Amino acid sequence: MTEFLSGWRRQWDVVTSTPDYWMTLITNPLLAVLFLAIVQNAGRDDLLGHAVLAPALLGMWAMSLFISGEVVARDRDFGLLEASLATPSSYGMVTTGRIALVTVLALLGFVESWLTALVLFGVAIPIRHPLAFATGIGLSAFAMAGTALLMSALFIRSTSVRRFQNTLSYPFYVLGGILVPVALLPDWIQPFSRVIFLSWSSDLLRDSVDVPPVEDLGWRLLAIASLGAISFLVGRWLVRRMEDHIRQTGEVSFT
Amino acid sequence: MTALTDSIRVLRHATAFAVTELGAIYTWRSWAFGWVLRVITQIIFYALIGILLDDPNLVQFLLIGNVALIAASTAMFAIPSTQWERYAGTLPLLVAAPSRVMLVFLGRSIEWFADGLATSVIALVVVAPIFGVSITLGQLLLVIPLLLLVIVTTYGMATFLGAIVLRKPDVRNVVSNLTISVMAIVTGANIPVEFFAEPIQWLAQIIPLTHGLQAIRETIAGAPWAEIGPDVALCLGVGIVWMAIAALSFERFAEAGRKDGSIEFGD
Repeated sequence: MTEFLSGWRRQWDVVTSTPDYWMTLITNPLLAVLFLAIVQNAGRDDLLGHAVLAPALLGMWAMSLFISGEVVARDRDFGLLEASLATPSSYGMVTTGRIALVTVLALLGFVESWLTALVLFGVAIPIRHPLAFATGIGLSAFAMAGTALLMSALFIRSTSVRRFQNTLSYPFYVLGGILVPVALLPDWIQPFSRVIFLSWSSDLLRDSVDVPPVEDLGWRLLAIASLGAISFLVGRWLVRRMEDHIRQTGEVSFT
Repeated sequence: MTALTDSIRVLRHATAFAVTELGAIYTWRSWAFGWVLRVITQIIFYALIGILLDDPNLVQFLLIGNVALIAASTAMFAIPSTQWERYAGTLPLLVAAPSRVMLVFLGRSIEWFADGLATSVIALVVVAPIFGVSITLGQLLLVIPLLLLVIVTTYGMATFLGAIVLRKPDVRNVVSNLTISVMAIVTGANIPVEFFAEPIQWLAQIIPLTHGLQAIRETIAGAPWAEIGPDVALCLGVGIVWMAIAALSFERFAEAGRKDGSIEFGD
């Protein structure tokens, strides 16, 4: 827990002194304007709620993924990765604390999007099923942190983190059904989508702002929680395995 | 004559540096399976919105708009790459050198021309058939130079923003991403320019992409040259104005740095 909290505090210091880390929250309202304008221009006001949720989900994914990569890349650049691995504390737990902070901050994107719709488009999107919405957001944040940890575990061994990071954006926005539901994707793609927690999260959050009752809420929450837990456990296992491997072989260097 | 030869020599070296830098950023594999794949899925993401809204015309509108936006966005990488000189510690040397700073910066980010053109053309060729958008070879051959025009003119704007960001290095990526987001909204890439209030429509007019994209849309629609020509001229004109402002900005930045020694060797 101490390692988790020190990671949380360390990340807060880094985030508050680095403009790049706020990028997603800075551009999020513009993305909300973009999606809202596309939908409104097409005369589909029934989809405005979907247009509000999309940038927030996109922002959560982008910010968590960007920073999980940056955490490793910067630690590597500054020689901290090697030094951290040489200490007895768990790099994975410190990283989890850092990622958790970022994921919590990324949730501000939902507020930003909602306010953008209200202030610039005069549309107050009602949350018609608050329980589904709140639990959906909470579990999505957990799943996001798990996924980010898994990604950072993969980043530890990669020296080209930023290239890798770039590729993990739009393919996942499509597969995750962030704006366009997975049901509209070709049939053969849909099974791939269903192993990404975003596809469950985006469907559930959309349903929670729509009029019809949310069906199969328990199963859908379970799907998000399970995918998040799997990512988290695999991520933790990978980080620990790499820590052990690197400590044994010395396969990192300060150069 | 010597001045011209010197300028060409400086530009040539800066361009050679740009090409080398691109090779350091990407390998062929990471470019094709990383960057290009990402761009292709980006275009698919926006074209799918047309499917969601059940409007085939909107599918084509979004697809073409985002191909052009990708071309312009790639030119925007000149903002951070201009800043890389500061991090490399070479900026004070460039300012101290007798050649014009603008020439160096004009050439040192030119790699984005090739990257932007190749990426946007590949995205168009790959994604258009997926959504049943028909682009003939003849249309493609006309669109390619227009995409290049979009990149070159946007590069002027990016170079200007790069000159401004040299004074505030930490915000380079934020400025670059904000500019791309604004372009996505106001230039007609995703929503017709007329959708917005008049001040925003005026803002769109000073962005080269607005005019270049209009020319691309007209070309694909088979419009006559008399209709396309003015948009091409406007795109070029706006780009030249941005380039001129960029040159002035770089010179002022260099002059101020020489006077007060405010440009340090590293950040």
